[in-house]
Amino acid sequence: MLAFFLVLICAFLYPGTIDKTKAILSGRKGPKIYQFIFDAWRLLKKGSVYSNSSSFVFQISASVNFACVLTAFLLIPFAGEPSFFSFDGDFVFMLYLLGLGRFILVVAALDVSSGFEGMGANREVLYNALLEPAFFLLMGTLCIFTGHTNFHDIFLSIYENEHIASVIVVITISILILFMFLLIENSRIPTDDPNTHLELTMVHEVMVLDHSGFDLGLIKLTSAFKFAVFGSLICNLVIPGHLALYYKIPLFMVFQFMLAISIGVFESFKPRNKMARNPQYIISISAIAAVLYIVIIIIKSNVV
Amino acid sequence: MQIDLIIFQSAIVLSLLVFLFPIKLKYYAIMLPILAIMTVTSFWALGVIFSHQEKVTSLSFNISEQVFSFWSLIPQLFIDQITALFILMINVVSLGAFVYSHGYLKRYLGVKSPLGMSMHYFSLFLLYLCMLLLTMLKDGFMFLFIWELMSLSSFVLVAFHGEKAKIMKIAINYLVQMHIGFLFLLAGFLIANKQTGIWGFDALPYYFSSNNNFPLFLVFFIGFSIKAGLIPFHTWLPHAHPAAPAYVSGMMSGVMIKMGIYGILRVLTHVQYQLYEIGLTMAIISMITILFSISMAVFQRDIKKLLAYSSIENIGIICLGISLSILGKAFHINALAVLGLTGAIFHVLNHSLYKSMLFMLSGNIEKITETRNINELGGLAKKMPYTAAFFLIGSLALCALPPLNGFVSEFLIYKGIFKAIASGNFFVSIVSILAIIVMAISGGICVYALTKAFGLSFLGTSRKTYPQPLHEPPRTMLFPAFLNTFLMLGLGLAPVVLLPEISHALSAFKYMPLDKEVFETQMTVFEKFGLLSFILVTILFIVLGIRYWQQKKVKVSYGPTWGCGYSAGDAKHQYTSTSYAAPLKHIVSPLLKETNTFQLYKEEEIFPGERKFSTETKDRLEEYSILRPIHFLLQKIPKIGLAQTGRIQHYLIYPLAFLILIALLTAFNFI
Repeated sequence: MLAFFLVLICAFLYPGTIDKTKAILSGRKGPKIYQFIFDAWRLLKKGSVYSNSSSFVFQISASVNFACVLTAFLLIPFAGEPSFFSFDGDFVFMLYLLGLGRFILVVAALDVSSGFEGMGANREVLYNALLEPAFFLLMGTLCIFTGHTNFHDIFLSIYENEHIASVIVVITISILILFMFLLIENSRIPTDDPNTHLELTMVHEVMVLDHSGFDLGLIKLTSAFKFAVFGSLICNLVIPGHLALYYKIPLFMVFQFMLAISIGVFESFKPRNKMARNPQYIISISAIAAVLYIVIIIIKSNVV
Repeated sequence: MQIDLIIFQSAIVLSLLVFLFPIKLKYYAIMLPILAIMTVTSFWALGVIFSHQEKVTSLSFNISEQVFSFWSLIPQLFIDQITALFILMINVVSLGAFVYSHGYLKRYLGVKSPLGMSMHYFSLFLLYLCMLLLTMLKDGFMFLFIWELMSLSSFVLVAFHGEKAKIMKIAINYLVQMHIGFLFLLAGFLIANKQTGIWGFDALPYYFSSNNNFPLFLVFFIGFSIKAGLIPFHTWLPHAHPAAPAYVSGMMSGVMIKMGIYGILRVLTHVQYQLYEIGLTMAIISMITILFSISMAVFQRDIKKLLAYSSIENIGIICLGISLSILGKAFHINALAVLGLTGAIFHVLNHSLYKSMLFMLSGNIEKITETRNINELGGLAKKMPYTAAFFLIGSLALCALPPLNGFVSEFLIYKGIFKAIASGNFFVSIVSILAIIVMAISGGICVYALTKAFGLSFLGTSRKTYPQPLHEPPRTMLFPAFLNTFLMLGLGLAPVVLLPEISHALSAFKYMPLDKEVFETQMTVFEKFGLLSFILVTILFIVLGIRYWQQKKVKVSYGPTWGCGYSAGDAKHQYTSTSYAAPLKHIVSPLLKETNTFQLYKEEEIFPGERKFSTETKDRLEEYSILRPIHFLLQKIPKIGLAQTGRIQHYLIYPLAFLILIALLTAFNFI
């Protein structure tokens, strides 16, 4: 319950914080942190222009995508506080919810019969097909490390391991993997750049060129929410579940804020990949996760 | 009197009358016996499911041992929980297919000969009947006979357009491969018979308890997997499915290839030892199957071929679930054993629903546009909204996305695997994580393939002018989609309804102790799971409602697609099937054989004429496993024929040489 609202608050502040950080680092003043809320509200009130070639799929696409991410919120725990729904394998459900949103957005991009959007669409599905194993490998590692198979129990018991060194290793590398995962899942640098001006080099952003008004507002909200979803997972890893609530809430907000700033810093200093290098880059995340998995499994099962 | 048996028998006899009816009434003449059998068997199956008791029935009910009757050929029919689920699945899919065939075959009524139509209808009936009987039979001889009959009837169905040489070739290829599978099954039953003296599945428990389990299992596994389409025995499938009429492919892909799975399950129910080898072999084969077939699916232009490859992938997922469950048993991880098998059986049912529906919807496309090439389609959704909406739902289910049924079964398998990982066994963890990687990648690539199939053929602008204006097909051709969508949504939102029945079905497995604890935790999980799916749908409708309200208030207009300021773009600017698949091609290029045909310009050609470019991607595995060996044989076999000169003098020399050889060998005491 608490988790849902905390994540929601963070979600609205994510895009503003990232933009502000990037602006300050490039010597500009930048908009206010909560500017995003006004932008989204303005879009939600606006009228829409639809492509002549679009059909009903295009009309429902943004709403489905939004509903999926909002439902995914219900699965996110908050540092030991239970989420609305917690069951074994809830992370599988979460990832497939995001998959549903992506599916519908991709077919909507094909609906407007534009060459640009088709290009974005096939890149998006390919990148995510390559990306998904990384998340499951990471969750597999956490499962084997803690002996539990749902978000809530994993995050609650991750600090209860007697090898404090292995806890530190697992958490550090998990954060690294989740951070890289978050950037790709949210179509940020280094695989994609939402601020680029050339449609040919965009991936996710080119898919939503024809959405306008209410739908575009929902899409902006969705991408902010996705940040919050994965940001919360990272924060859950960092904050031990047995702390008192009046420590956890400020800690959670501070970590989310720091994460947003670090995304901004990362984006300011890192150039984007060459398009052809992207698949390799994405597979490398799975490779890191696989190495972590094998190390943990060897430690856990005492084979050596 | 046993009224159900009388109906069952008279329906079988009445079906022969289809040959006598006039061509327009043949459909109704075959529909009546089919509906009768459907009702009877559904009652049997539901009775077994609700009473939790096995049913044993015999078709020869006036048992007088001396009098030979036709019905005593068919021995007793056994219906247990697994059989009951399969019967219901066959009935649902076949009902859809039969209703669908009415609309689909209308245009062939004047073209085909009455005998051809009768043969087609009768084969359809026979295929349906054979599948039903196969699930209920335990006797080996009869099982093989019906198995053969099923192959033959489906051969006749595939060869419906047999006047085209290409399709006849595909059908014969199918028939030959089925017979190779048949030989393996025959060998399997013979081996078991030699040891135990019993014919049929009843011999297996005795055989397995006293012999090595793995070799015999492998023989059966190869035999059944040729029918199921596991790699490397899949080569008939991507050809036979597109060649057959849509509802036949729906039935074949929906239920017939599941008979292979059913056979594997039946053999597995008796397996007792060597679970480790069996599980590992199956796991490796199914993982290769999944990855290979789903990447091949992306490169298909023919929408039915794409679906056929995706069927192979789904068979792979089912087998993966089964194999993981065996491994779970071998290493005493009950959660994996129970969840893997439950997931696999659930996936069999799910896949039959959405795949048969997708095949029939692609038949709708074919009927209206007269093409199945994705490169020529596009923009169908505006004129065929129902077909498009159902195809979208089917694709979502196929990609295993919530809140549809496909996700439930994959979730079960995922959950079993993660439970196994959490248990911390080294070997199981390694296999499990490989399985998870395979399933995750295949899930992603499945989205790739299905966004291509749906997005490029239904959405956008049409790439070609169609022979007739686009419109919805007749209602009978949408009926299976209605029926299956209803069931799919039901199973997706309330999986708790079916799960207890599947768990009861697991009790048939000798090696599987029914773990009550695993099952109960699973039920609470699925109550939450179903509720979450409901919430997803509710949120979606709320958002759509707000959107509807907002759109009524503001100004909504239509305009050209954003083209970077260039507004003269036409349908050719859209992505095609080939270009959509291009990024993946660089990654999976070793699996593909791509042939481009293009005639280069000559130097003396000052005013070049029209040129055509065509590109084709082929399954490289098919080339290595089927085409090259056949080519090799065709080259070598004539050389053996050298001895066969046709001259009587030569033929007289052979016995003489033989006699001399014998004499020599005897003289030197060799024999």
